[in-house]
Amino acid sequence: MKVNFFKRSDEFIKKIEEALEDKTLYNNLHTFSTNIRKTYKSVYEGLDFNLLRSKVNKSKEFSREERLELFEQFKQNVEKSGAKVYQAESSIDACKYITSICKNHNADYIVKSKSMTAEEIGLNKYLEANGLHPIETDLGEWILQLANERPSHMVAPAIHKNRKQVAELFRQHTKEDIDENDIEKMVKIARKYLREYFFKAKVGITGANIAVAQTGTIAIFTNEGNAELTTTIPPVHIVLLGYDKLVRDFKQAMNITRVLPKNAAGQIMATYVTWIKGQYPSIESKTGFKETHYVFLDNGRLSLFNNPVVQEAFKCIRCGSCANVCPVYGVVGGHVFGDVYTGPIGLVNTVLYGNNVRAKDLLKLCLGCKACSEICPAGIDIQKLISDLNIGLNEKYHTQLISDFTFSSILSKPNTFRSTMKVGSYLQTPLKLKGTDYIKFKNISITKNNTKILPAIAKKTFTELFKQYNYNKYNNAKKRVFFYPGCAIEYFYPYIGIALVKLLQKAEIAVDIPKKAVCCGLPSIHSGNSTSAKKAILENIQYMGDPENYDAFLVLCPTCGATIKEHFPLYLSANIPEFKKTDLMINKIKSLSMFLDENKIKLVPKNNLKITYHVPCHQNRSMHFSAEPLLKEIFKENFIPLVDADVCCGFGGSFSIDYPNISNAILNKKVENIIKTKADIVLTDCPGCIMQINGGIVERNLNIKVMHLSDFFEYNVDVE
Amino acid sequence: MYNGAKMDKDTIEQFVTNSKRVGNANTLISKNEFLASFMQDDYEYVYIPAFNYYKKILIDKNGIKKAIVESNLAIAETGTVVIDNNDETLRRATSLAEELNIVVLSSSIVSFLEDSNELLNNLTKKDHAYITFITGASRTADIELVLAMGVHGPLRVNIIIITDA
Repeated sequence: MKVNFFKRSDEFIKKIEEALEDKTLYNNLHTFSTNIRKTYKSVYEGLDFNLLRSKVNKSKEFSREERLELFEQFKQNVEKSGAKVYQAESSIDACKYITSICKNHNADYIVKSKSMTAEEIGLNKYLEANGLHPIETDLGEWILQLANERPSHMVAPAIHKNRKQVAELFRQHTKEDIDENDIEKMVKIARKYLREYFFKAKVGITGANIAVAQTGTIAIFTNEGNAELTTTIPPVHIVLLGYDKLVRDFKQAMNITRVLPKNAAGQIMATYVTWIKGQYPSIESKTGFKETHYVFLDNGRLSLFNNPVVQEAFKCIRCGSCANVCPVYGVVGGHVFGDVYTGPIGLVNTVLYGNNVRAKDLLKLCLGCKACSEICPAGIDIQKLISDLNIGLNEKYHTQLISDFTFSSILSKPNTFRSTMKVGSYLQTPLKLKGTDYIKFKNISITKNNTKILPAIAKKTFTELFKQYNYNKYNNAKKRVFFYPGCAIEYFYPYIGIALVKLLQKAEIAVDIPKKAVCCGLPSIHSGNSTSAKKAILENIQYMGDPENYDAFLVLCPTCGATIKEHFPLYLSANIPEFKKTDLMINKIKSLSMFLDENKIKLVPKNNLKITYHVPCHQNRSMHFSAEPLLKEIFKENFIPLVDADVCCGFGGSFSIDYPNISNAILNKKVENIIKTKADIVLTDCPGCIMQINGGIVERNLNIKVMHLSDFFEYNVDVE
Repeated sequence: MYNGAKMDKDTIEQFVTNSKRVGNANTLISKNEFLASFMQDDYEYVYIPAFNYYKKILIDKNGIKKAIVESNLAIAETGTVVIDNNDETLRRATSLAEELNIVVLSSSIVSFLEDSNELLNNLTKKDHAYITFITGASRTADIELVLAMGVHGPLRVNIIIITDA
């Protein structure tokens, strides 16, 4: 099905706008994400997080054939006690089987502990349509059941509700008098009320966080204890799980057990981990033993387990931490950022199991900040999955947002791009804000908060200025580096590039630049257009210097650096000479701060300006180097740390003009934190971040400057 | 050393630190002191095989005020007790008591999660098993992220470590 859109659905845009206006949602998510980020640091203190998550990643590394072997082993183990194992091909298949078991037992009431797999198959609706009454026992899920809403978070499902709303729901349902400020009392009411159902229900349904094949054991993690009662009182237990839950042995299970509660809720350990095998004793059962059914769900998993692009997704342990650190999720919540599954991995799962038409809009919500990949305790590069799937969806649906057409059709053609920008630099004059070098851009497909203040295109490009000042003629050099400016420096901030050249020449280092400015291809990749990305990359690598001749390849834009490091090798894997050149180049790619640090170039402040530092996402998560320690060393007590310094500024390139409202909401948090530092200057080493943060500062008329390290260093430090 | 960190403190001390962290009250007591002070009538449900104390009742939906049970193992890394919960009367007690008291023999305290694998493997050799890891009292933060105790389990958990057993 080919669907051509030049904008997203009105319904989707409206949903985003409503979510951005929801004060309860904003406050709850803001509190949660700020606190949980701190908690993540403390709960992993003294532990090697990267080691732990690589163990989890390896523990769930199986081919489809291996997974089916694990399944057979699990099945044989549990069948020994008489338990039944059913292989459900589809959602409806699973629902039918489960419903028939419940009907066989005349189970009017069924108790459920929280299961995302049950959400995936739409189990509750199916049971209710068949005259049965499933009761959610997890407090958050029960609240949503009363409200007839979907969970907005995998682990804290009712995070979008406030106490007033919950009290009203309880009042309506229990007919009791409820004080909205007495949360303890509300919990006691839920405890009493749901207790009745544990004892009324004839069937208990759970999911399984882990399934240990070697011993036929499942593990269920809860804090409330509802999995214990769900599996104890009723005489029947139905376990619903995807094949991806299987691991080999308890050793692998413990790798997961160690990290899951830490990432899910910032806890050292969940309050309950319930390990169950087969048909265990049951007093209510006529046989004295539980009647247990295991329903293994396919719903597309089996066909994807060997898919090289998405197989990493099946290592997900459903902790929800990717949502907790996602800056976009943090302002729009899970009802927008996801479908059945929410958060970054939810975007992926929506493509794998859900509605692809919905998915194509959802994947555009990704900023590309990689905070999710950084926090994932299973070591999944979630952002890469989103990026790859976005390309697939774009190829099918041709989702051309305003920026896509511009970026993907022109960027790969350097001559076209250059002349377009030249024309643009003249045409933009009426758009410029009076007396400034800024333009105000309005996205009319969005109704509120739809403007962005962006820099105007510079009159002369960096390459033109470099030649004009004869920097290419500097020969008194101890070292020689190659500087790749990238589009932002080339067309918007050429003076930042010139400042770098001057600084390096002070340190007796010569600089060469590409003969032709070619985009690194990331805007094309981000908009899902791999064809134009490939074109740009192939063109780009031709104009890069020969790695043999240079001590380093410098970038002032870490996004370009990240693209060269992460995407060039993939796009050029079949272009061998270009691949080899890239490989040699990658070892030498440095940002300015990295280069200064490694070459021990000492800088001394010339004045007493107070500095703070915003860590660009790609500098941190792709280049793996934050300039914070270096800046602390240079500026000492004049350096003020920024709260949430490494949280995305909300730019995301084209994201900022496709979703200015979301971009501004994220920017708002960053600017508030910057104001709190009372610094004179906020430094950063990404021109994209400069564009974004500066826009926020200009809009608020603040007396703070945003500068790149290189142009700040030009006038404010001496080279020793 | 399973988690990349060294268990360099005394194992009991580490267990108590992590048990306190989740809000448990912790008492260290010698066997004789415990036996001298123990009053079976204080608890509606009793299960302490090490000292041969049993009062196993079938608890209904009304729950009970206090239970005292013995754990098989305790894990210092996380402040967790491990209970073979195959017996349904015991399972109900650990869920339906408002106050759950857990007797931990100090000799049963192990360092890491993996140290419970032997017990898990043994218990799951049979064709059925039910084992519960308990780390603190039942809790939720589902309403506005405010922590509340005692949702579908005990409101309070007290750990009693028998130091010389």
